[in-house]
Amino acid sequence: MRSFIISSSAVKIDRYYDKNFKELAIESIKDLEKKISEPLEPEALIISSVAVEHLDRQSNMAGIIADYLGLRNIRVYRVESGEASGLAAVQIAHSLVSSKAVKKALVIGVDKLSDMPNAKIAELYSYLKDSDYIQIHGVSPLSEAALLAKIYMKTYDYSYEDLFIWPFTMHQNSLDTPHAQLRFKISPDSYKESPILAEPLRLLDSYPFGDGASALYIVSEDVAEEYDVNVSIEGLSSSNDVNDIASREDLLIFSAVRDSFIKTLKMADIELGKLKYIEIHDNYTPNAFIVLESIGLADRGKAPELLQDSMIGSAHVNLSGGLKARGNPWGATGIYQVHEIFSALLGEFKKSVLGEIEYAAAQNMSGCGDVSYSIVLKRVR
Amino acid sequence: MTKIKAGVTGWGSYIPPYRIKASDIASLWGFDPYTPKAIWIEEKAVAALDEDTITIGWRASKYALQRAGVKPEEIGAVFVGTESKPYSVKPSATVIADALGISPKKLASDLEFACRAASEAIRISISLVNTEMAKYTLVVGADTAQASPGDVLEFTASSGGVALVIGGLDNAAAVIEDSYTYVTDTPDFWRRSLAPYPEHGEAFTGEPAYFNHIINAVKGLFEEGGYKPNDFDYAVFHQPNGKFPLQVGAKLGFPKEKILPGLVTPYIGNTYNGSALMGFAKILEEAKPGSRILLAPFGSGAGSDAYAIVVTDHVLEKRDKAPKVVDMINRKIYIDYARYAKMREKILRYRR
Amino acid sequence: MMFERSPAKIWRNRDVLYRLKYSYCRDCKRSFYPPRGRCIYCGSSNIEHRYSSGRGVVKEFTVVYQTPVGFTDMSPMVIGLIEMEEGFRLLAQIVDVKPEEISNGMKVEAVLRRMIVDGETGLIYYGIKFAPLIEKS
Ligand SMILES: [Zn+2]
Repeated sequence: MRSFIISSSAVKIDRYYDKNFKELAIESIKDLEKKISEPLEPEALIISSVAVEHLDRQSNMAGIIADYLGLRNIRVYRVESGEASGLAAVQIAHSLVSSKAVKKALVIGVDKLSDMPNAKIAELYSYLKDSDYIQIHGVSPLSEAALLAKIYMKTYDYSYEDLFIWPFTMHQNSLDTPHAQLRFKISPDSYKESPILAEPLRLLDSYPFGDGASALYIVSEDVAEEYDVNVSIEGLSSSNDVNDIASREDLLIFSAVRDSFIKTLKMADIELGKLKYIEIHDNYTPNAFIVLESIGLADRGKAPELLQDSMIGSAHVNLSGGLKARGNPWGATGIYQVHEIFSALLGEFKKSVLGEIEYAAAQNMSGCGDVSYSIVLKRVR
Repeated sequence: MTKIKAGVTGWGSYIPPYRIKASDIASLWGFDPYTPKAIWIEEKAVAALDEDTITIGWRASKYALQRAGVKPEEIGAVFVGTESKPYSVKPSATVIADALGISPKKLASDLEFACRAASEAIRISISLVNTEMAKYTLVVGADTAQASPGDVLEFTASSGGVALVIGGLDNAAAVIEDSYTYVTDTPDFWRRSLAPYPEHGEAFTGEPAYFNHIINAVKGLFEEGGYKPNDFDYAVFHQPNGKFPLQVGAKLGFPKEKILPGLVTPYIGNTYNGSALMGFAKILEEAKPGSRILLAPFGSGAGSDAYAIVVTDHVLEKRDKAPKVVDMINRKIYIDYARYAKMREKILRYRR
Repeated sequence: MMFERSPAKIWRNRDVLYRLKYSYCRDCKRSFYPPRGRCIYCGSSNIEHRYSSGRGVVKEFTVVYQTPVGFTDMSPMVIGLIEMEEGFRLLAQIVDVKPEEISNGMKVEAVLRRMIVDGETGLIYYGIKFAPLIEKS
């Protein structure tokens, strides 16, 4: 019950005022197409996007992109599971392929956060929360993360400056990530002086708003055998938590992250220590630490201390720069993560740091762990 | 003397904490710095951007129910007297009632008679209670009063509200002995349907309007009930500013000692439908049982009601069940004119 | 200009938003908000709906400057983690107090406020925010 990734690509995350959703999505598969030895003929097209309806006043995006790609007589899906849409779309593709419903599936994640002003994007981001009873209070993942930051700092006795290690490391890592939105270093001063979003969190604790698109080609084993290098999806699963973080019994562990990661490792039949490279969903600084602790890379409250040169334990974390610096174009983010770990397994991404590795993983969640997906990829040959 | 068998079972009030000093308004618009003193206004309460007549009325009503000790289901009518309805069409009373858990089996409407609508609701309530059409009623007088920037009205037009639970004589904190109403067509103050701010006849709001109507209502009450000023321990009049109530009281033979305890406008501004009722609520929180209060609200257009109300022993057990007027007068967050202009939507902008 | 927010939505949610209707689980004796038909702690469907007293305590709070469209009027907007007398917690706005005067453990009461105003012609959404208790002077 495996599926294989044979090609991937990603556009640099940026402000593409001159391109619409369709054009950016199509732009993102140009490289992917070059890396395969046959014509691109998926039997399923799966589009991951969080905000296309709101930003582009567009439904049926998958059908329309299929039209623009010249794909006819195929299955089309548009997937939306909040910020975890990317990996949710990959899971649909994986299910279709591994169940032999289709042999080839093309997954594209796309969102364009530059299309509207910040306050509108902040509003759309708050749509991740229950609109009837939570969003109506003005609550968004930002205010939740700010509360988590304060609770984290008090519980584990950290100062705000102690948290700087995360954004600093992310900006260090993104310097040589070709598709990263932000490719510059940051200093402790620029961190502390960046505008407050929700105290204590500042601009540099958050991700930049940008446009991005990334794509994966997921195929069955017999199709993959035609290729020299094979990367298989060994594990892929998800979990969810209550949408209102206020009701959670333990605010400092994301149970959905923990549970989905445990299930994914079990599916892949490996121990955590086998993973040499993991991309995690660090939409806000405190969330990065809580995710690392939830998946077991650090004991509770220890992630800021244990993180060194973007390594924690034996794993390299967010070599791309993470959401913080690579960027977080919502529905595309999970696809970027898989593009990164897939490319690393091929030896085409961060090779000087990683060398040759066998396993890599990604973790993609919505808000503060409301829904979380994780995936383990293995280089088969 | 008419036989009324109704009383005030509970009372509650709400004054927003924000205050702007009258001197700031005088200085911004170039008034003679003595102007606020001439009408005796020191500062006024300002509602926040997320407050309106409904939210203010709800808060006052919540406190009134706490003091009344009445279950929301026992309320048979909800009246909101206001001249600053959040909706031109759509009652405020229904929102307040549902938000308090008052059952659908009730009367509910918004009344408009400038600053006097809530007082009319008291008179309607007396008949509903006396005829047993309702066991209890909820009367709300609340406003977020408008005033054109730079108009002299701006010194006093403020935000706040009072709610009264009107019921029978059992458990009443104060018994309504008698009441009298005097209403004529007197155009002293008005606001056309789509106009944002009211207009007024300046001095014309005085003699032919405020003074004439209050004096006739009070004299009517005195004649019908056989009262004289000495029968009253307190007198509360509608208070568009600090000076008028003292002047009308003097004309009726009340010394200022009986008026000052219920005079709140100098410190919070004129809360319109809450104006006289706020002074009345304050007196209920201070007066000895047995005290008799003259209450005389006034509304432009114009009309006045006069009530003779006697405080009972029950007032004592109810006082501490909710915040008092004096606590809210003393609770202040000062704001400058810019913030006041923002909060009262006087800045032309795109709503986001 | 047509209104953008559903009148039906404001109507059907009014008990929850106006009066803090919450769920109480008869099996594990725990309470939670928003109300749901199944217990978020033990999974039981043996649930009853209750109304909160409105009395709560601030457990933590944040001052939000990047406010979403619809909430920019409240900026900087204080979002508090409030623990209610009945045991459940929720995130809601704290109003009528300067952020520097808020402290964890501060008692607050539920107050009805405007939550969202739908453009120039649409409906006004009312709901619960929290304010410090009015102290005796
Ligand atoms: Zn339970």
